[in-house]
Amino acid sequence: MLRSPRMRASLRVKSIYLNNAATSFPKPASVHAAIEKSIAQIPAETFRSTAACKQNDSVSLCRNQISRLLSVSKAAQVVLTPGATYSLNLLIQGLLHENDRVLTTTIEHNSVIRPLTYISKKKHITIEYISCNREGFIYLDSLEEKCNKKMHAFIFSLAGNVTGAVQDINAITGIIRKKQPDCLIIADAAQAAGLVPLNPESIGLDGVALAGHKYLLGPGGTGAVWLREGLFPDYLLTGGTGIRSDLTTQPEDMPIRYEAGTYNISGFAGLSAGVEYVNNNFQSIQKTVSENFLELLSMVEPIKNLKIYNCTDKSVIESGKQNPILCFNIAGLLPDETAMMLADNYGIVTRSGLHCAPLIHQAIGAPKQGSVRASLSIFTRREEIFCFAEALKEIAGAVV
Amino acid sequence: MTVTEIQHVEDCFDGSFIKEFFLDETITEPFIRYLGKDKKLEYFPEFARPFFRIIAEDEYMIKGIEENRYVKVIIFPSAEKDIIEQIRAYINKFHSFV
Repeated sequence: MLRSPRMRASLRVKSIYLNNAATSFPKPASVHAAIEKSIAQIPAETFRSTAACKQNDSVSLCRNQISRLLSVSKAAQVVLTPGATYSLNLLIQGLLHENDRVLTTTIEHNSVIRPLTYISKKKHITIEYISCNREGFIYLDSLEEKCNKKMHAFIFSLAGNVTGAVQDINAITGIIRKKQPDCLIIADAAQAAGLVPLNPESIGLDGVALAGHKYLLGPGGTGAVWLREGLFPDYLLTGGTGIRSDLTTQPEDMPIRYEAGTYNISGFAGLSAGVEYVNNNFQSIQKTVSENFLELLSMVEPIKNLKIYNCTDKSVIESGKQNPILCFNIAGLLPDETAMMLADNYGIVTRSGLHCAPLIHQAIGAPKQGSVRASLSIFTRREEIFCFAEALKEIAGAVV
Repeated sequence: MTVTEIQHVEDCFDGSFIKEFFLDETITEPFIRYLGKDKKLEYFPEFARPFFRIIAEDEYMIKGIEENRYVKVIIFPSAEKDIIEQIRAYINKFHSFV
């Protein structure tokens, strides 16, 4: 068996994590410390213990940090949840009614598509899809065309998890508010929060779903949903809230109305620290991530048989309209084969396949097997980017 | 060679499904050639560690990397019902074959 010295040299065992669009890693040291402290101390269970201090418990701190992130006036409109999937289910199942008409997009994650499909069958809801261009940006003229007085809700991912395209939220809300002022606008910000500025109140959104474990740098099993004041989705859960124990029905107070059951205290302690890190470093995160992503693109774009699906336009990336996701395939290899080689030969963690977003691949021209996704974070180092690019060059070069 | 564990990985659009077969020894070139006997074998020695695909038409595709301890097996919808056990039995016979 022949192997070139170059190939032998590439057999370096590393651990390079480029799957931040799934779960960010590593987390800031403050997140580790907050979780550890939370577990080590007497449980300060919100509303459930004399050890709890309303202004200093991790749940309240986390809510306040998210409120700061979203620049919203009332922290009580921020409901803490087990993640974006729960948040989206609350918004979708809780707000849509019998025979509603809903507009969504083909870039959506299954956390939107599946609850929508489920509720559409249960409540005879009509779903229409807006497609996207080759880079994952939705067609705004199609939105304009399909949005009409009969539309009850528009549900969309602010940033796609496959190509990382960040949608033009101002244009979207502008079109919808002009054509159907009463239409609910719900944003899945799972991929956007922590990288894209969010200001749902001033933009005029009705609900925003957040994931804690991605670019908000918190642990898995944490998330949040922001609800416009006066908007009350039906509950997904009812149960103990620690206060208003005299009631046999769910209290109507926000946010406990939607927070039945014991909180994931240590999880929210970690999320609070993660969001605080983002709040304190937002501009430098955006700048560093964008610079590193452009550096990566400059190294991989010349690779001849590498097909890149995401936007590579420098001005788009610098303006924050493209998350640091390289979505690609290597000619002659299926996505899982490329990912397998990156993992097993180079120790580089990526993700391959459909990425839980089954409708976008046709629109971006990817094969039915999907694509490979490499996603950076603020903690991805330049040398890791360089090693990844070199690995791609070697793999692509070997296929030719 | 012994298959120590089989894990389900994913179901595909076309009705195929993917399993990972974990092995008690590392994959060698003779083992790859054994797997590819009477099948279509695609062997790529140019990669850092050689990559291979073995295609049994209308039944399955096995792919992996030399020196790993697992292979990925894609079972096509038209495969026989007990194809997983057939592949397991064939892998387990490797030493006696050599």
